[in-house]
Amino acid sequence: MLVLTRKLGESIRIGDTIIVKIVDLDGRHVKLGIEAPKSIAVNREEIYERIQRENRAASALKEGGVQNIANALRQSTRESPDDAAP
Amino acid sequence: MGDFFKNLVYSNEDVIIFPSGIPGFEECRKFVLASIAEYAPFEWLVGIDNPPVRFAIINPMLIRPDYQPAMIRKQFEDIEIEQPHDVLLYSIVTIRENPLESTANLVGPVIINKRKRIGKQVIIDDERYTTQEFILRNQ
Repeated sequence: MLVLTRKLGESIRIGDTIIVKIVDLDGRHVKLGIEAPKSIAVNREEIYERIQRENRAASALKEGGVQNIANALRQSTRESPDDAAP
Repeated sequence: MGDFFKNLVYSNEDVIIFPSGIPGFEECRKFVLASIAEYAPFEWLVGIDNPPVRFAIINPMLIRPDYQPAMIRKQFEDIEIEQPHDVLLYSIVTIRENPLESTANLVGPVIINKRKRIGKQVIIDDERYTTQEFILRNQ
């Protein structure tokens, strides 16, 4: 991993299009400003990992389980038509 | 995997391209949508690349009728949306050991441009929602 030292207000540039700026420092917190093209998704690492994990768990499904909850959901929608979504 | 998905019949026009795959399955770029009456209101997002993968998906409004994730419209450009009615919005479902405790991921909705057949799983930064919302309200 490349490690660079930067002061408050300074930036680094990644490739031609991405800029990461140190916007604020407060104890153990660093606030970063990120400029990147719209096609590049910028996410907190732990949220990205959570989505990855959830997708892997979701892919391990069995059709029978889906049918069970589909039946239960159809039944609950029939029982409470007032708050069912259109 | 059930026979239905092994023998899924689709045409080229049905294929939806996810240019960056989806997190955890970055190599899966081509998917088709499938609806099967016995699983309604769930639908299926079936990967047709290797490895074979399929997800049960649902309209998030059925779980949270007021679902309106912050900033999602900003992501529409990535799937080349010109008309709002070209967008399909789904949540991926995780079936739990007790299926009645199954959850839907409201932080990582899937958006699809149904006219141009481009899709993406977006990650929304909105504390009102979680990756594991119970589908049945009494859970």
